Amino acid sequence: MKEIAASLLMAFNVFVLFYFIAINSSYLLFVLIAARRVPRTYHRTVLQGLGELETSPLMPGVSIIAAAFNEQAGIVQSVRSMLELKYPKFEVVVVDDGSTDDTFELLRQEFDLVEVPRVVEDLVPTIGTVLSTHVPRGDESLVVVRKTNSGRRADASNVGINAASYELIAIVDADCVMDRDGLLRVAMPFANDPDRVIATGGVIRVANGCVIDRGEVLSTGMPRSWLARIQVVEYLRAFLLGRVGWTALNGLLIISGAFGMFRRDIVIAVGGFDLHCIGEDAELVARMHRHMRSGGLPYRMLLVSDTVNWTEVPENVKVLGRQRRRWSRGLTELIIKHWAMMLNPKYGRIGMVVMPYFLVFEAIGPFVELAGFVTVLMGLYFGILNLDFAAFFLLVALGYGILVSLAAVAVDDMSRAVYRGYRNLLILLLSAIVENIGFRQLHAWWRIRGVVSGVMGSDSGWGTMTRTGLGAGPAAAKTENP
Amino acid sequence: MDTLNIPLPVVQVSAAVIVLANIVVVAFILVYRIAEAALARRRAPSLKLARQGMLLAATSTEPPVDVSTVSTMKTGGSSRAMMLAAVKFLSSLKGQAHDDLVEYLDHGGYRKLAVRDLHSKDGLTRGVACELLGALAATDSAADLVELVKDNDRDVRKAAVRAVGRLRDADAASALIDSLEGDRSVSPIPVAAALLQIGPACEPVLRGSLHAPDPGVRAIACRVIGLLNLTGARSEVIDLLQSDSEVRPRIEAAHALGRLGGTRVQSPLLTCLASATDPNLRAAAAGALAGIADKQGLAALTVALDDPSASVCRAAGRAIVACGPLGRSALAGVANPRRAAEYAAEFIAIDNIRRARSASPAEPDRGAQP
Repeated sequence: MKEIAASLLMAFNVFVLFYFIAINSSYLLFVLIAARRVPRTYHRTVLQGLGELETSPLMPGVSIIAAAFNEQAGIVQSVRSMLELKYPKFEVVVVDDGSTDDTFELLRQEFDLVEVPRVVEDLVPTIGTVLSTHVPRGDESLVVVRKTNSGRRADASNVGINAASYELIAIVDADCVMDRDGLLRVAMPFANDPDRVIATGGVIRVANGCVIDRGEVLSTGMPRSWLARIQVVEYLRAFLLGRVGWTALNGLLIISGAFGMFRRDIVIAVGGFDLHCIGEDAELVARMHRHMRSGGLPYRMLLVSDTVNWTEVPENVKVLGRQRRRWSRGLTELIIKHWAMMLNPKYGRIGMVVMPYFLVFEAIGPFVELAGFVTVLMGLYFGILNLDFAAFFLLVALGYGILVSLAAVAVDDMSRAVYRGYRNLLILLLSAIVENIGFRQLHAWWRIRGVVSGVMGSDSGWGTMTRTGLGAGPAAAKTENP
Repeated sequence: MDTLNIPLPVVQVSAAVIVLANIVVVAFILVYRIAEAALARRRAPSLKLARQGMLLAATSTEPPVDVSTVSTMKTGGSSRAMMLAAVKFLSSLKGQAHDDLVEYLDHGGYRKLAVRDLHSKDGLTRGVACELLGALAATDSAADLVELVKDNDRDVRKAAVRAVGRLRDADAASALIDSLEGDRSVSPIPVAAALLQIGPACEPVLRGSLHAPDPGVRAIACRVIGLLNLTGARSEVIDLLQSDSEVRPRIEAAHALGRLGGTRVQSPLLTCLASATDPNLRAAAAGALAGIADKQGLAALTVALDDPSASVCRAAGRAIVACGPLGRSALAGVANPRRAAEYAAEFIAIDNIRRARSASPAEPDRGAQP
């Protein structure tokens, strides 16, 4: 019996070793794919002719939809920032999701809002009730919709979809700061290929540590807290380079709800955001894939790597943990809901490659990772493993992981190089190391809890995030980070 | 009990490889940064001089012209940086300042530099050269630029198309239309923008393109015809709206007819509004009637306020409002069905706000959209 247990333990440890080699190799592959594309795209921005398109009648109309719940800290600045985007034809639709603070009142005063009987049809399902709609007396292209809160951001987004006027919708977080020409960049693929492109995503970067004034990023810097610093590297590796890699393989499954643009008619055709899914942004993309493939319709979804939306990330462990559990639960719900796509050739690369990848490496992965560390320790304790094996395991699990994170930093440095100065570089490099020692394991624990919650169907809720607001002013921005 | 062993040499070699790889990556980052900074420092003096020269030229002051620095510059990052600086400066100027700067850049060897760099092996350099020649309106480089519309680099093709547009050479219109198809095609937006810059002179090519086999080409042709207000093509655009086999060209035809106007466009647009199965086409038809609908048109538009598609209802509402007092009167009379009445109420309210704004004294700019 003892020997059987020992054999099983040995076999599992070997399996975990190969698992770490596989997952880190896949991350490295994405980084290498992105290494070719991202710097090239960035350095060739000058050849895109964006300046001429800022006022061009050739660009399609866009409705920017921002759901806001208790965003009084930065809502006016965010909306101002959106209204000053360089784009010829767009509107901003802010959905006040039953805020209990002064979110609406601040908007009302700032933009001199007046109530109008705007028709908001039930094109996609919603739960909450629309209470009123408001537009400015001035000529700002702004619509503010007030609704009752239903506890789901997806509901607010769906109300925004119903209220929107234009053929493209951009879903953004109300507290994000976009590059001034960000809308232009993510809309370009639609303008150039209106029949096939159905979704594009922008890049999300960490705003903590940046100096933001009146909705514009004046200078970038590494955050003060190590938790935020680690997320800088993580966002680079996973959300920028990873998704560029998936775009190159035609397998983009996740477009961040913080910055995604979609063809409105397709979103309506698939029923909008799922009101009962925590990861509603990814789930919508999966459903769009399914819809297009089931219909045999040609389509493309892509990440636009040279446009950035800056967002505030949690600097509190509890809040971050809640966020990551929620993301993980959302992914689990997506996999369960779209299980029919798994290894189904009808869904092409999405079914045969992307879904299995996310199942193995993102859903099951954290179990394997944590269990691996535990069983290696157990193996050492019971004398089944020797120190050489343990050292090799750590090399693969941690050393290889650090290599991937550093490679991600290198690719970013060859392109946008957001973090200037050697001090910022040193912090970035250290963060790439620390990300893999301690944070990754803690993250795995949060993800495990999220997966379990997703499988059990328990309500983890959204919770609240303490926001300091982006850019009360340059000095304030620097002191607000602990 | 057996133990799981990894041979020590394997561990040692693996450790060495991974540690070395990490060190190499860190070293690469550092070297890259240092090299970039050194390159920027090396280029800074000549760039600074160049910018000063351009600024002086743009303000009509006699600048020192150092032809040797620019025209003998090797093809590469430095020449590209100079050309980019010139392009940026040019794009920020208008009128006499712009003309003065163009003259300075011509005499200063920038045009020669760009012409040479059109044949650079590096795609980025070729593209930037296209940008500069376009900004300089270098008509004598038209043939080279048209050639580059078929370059193997997609971004160079785009830049060449934009440059050709700025030359406003009607002879290049065919090449632009041709660039929409084939293995080395160009995205439609830059091509349409270039055709718009060429202007009415490309009308014959555009009218011919209305019969192109590719629906994308027909769509772009319609769009540009509408934006250029080429009323001579009205009949052909009407034909396309009524009989094209694809939806997208018909949508663009509807938009174009809205811009072209005229007494003959209302009837086909109304037919489209009433019978098209594609809601995007009905919405385009409704939008096209803005400002041109007569009583019959307004009646059809008020019916469209209850279209199954919300985008059609909204387009109809906007179109009715654009018809002025007649439109407002038509909206006020909409009582049934309830949905149509709700849309009518919305657009009446929006129109009231707009009219109140027009009537009130001018207010400071609060970030209004162009």
